[in-house]
Amino acid sequence: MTSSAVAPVSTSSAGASPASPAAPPAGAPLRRSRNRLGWLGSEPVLWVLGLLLVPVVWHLYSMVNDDKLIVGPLDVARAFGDLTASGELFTAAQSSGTVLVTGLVAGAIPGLVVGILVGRFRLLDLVVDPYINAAFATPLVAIVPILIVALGFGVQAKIVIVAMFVFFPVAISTATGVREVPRDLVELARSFCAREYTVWRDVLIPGALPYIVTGFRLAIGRALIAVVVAEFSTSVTGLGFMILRYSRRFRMAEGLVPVVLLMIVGFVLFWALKRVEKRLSVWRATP
Amino acid sequence: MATISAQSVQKSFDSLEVLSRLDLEIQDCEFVSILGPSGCGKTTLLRTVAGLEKATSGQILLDGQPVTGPRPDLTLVFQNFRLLPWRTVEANVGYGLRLRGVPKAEARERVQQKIDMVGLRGYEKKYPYQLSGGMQQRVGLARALAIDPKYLLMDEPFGALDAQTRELMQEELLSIWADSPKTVMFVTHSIDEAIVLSDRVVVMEAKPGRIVDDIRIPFERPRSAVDIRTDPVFAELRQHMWGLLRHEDRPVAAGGAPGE
Repeated sequence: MTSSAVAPVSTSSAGASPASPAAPPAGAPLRRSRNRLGWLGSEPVLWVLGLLLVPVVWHLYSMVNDDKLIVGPLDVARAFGDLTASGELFTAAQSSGTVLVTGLVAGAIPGLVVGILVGRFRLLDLVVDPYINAAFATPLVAIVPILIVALGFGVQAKIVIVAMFVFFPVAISTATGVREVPRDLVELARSFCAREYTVWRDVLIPGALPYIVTGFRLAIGRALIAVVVAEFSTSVTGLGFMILRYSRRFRMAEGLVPVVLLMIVGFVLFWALKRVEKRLSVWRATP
Repeated sequence: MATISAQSVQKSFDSLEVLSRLDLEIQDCEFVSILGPSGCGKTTLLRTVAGLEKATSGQILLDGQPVTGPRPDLTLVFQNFRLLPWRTVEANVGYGLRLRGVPKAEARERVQQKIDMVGLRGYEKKYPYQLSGGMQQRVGLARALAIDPKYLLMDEPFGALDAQTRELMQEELLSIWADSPKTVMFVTHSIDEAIVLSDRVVVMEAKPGRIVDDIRIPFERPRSAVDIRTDPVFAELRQHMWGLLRHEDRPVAAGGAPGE
């Protein structure tokens, strides 16, 4: 994504001499070689340029536009500094973070267990699978008001909402992964007199791990959505509260600060998950 | 004592009879091969002895005890190795010990000893995908032997290996067995392999699976596979078994039976 976004700019700066499009040798990678871009073509440089592209365009747009409601990245950065210094951002983040983490755990663990059970036992799968898929397809936001009636406006309601968003992707991915684990390996474990839980620990979970990680990745994205949804629709607290409060007063820069923070949190969580996955998959042949 | 006794074992999958009232006795520390064409039920018999399948009728006794499920003193070696791909060689070899809760230090020692025995020293930290088929099956063998089982059941363990590796592994199995004899049930469709390794060869026929001959192999132990193959008795035995299997006029049998 980043490199393709930058490509037009760099080709125009380096492309005075039209390089003759020689046919690539057989077996060469399908991606175009980046040699023609010179130093601009090195991966870190492209990465940084890509990262700067959107903020720069945003900044230029906010400069030429007189509308006071259109704030630039520098305004947001300044507001970020102010809200951090006052401690307001930290307090709000703490409240949202608690909901996020608790909800993630409360959704992921049952999701993992149900996913393994459904993937492991075919008859259970037959009965439960339609429900899980129906629930996954349902826009869960739609039942949030109903949940609030049942659970009230407190922090439990928020946690349940997040857990609900997290549960289904984890359960579905885990079940798919467990179904993919060769039955031969389960039988091997049985032949060594393994108990059911050691089969889970030694065979099913490691075997399904790539799918479980995919489920977690989906779950993290959905959990971040769920936190904000929960904070908007129950008692207004945390980062969601900040967004509402400042945007209602037309202070757009301040209103965008929690959004940026949520983005950073999502980015960091994805990155951490990727690292964990890499460490856990040393046993797979790299293609 | 580690004896295996199959008493009129019958096994059907739906309406298909795979084993037909089959009787078989294997003595303590005897090496018995089950030889037969594809589909004769030899693998089903082995799996029933291992407690992975239930007989439709009849029973299997191990040392006089009826088999009801997998037992801690019996291990299997599979044709398709079945190593856990996310575990290193040493973790795979130690798998059975870990499940049995053997203390770590003792387990490490026994694992290393088995790894040395199958000639995989230096490969302890490798993952299965980094090993050749022959090396993977050495791991499978070491894993089975690590728990020091009384019964060792092998289901065409060398069937997926190339001819040279196969002979090498037979040679190694002979020497391993000579060092610590166990009751072995060895399923194969290779006549040569059965003769070279076994004290007795039980020949089966298909549809329904039944025993048609039970042949004592007279070669002295310790054996050398190379010497046996050049012995005239070997040729005689081979011809006799080939004659038995040839009766099976289906193409599967003709293709599967001659061995390598």
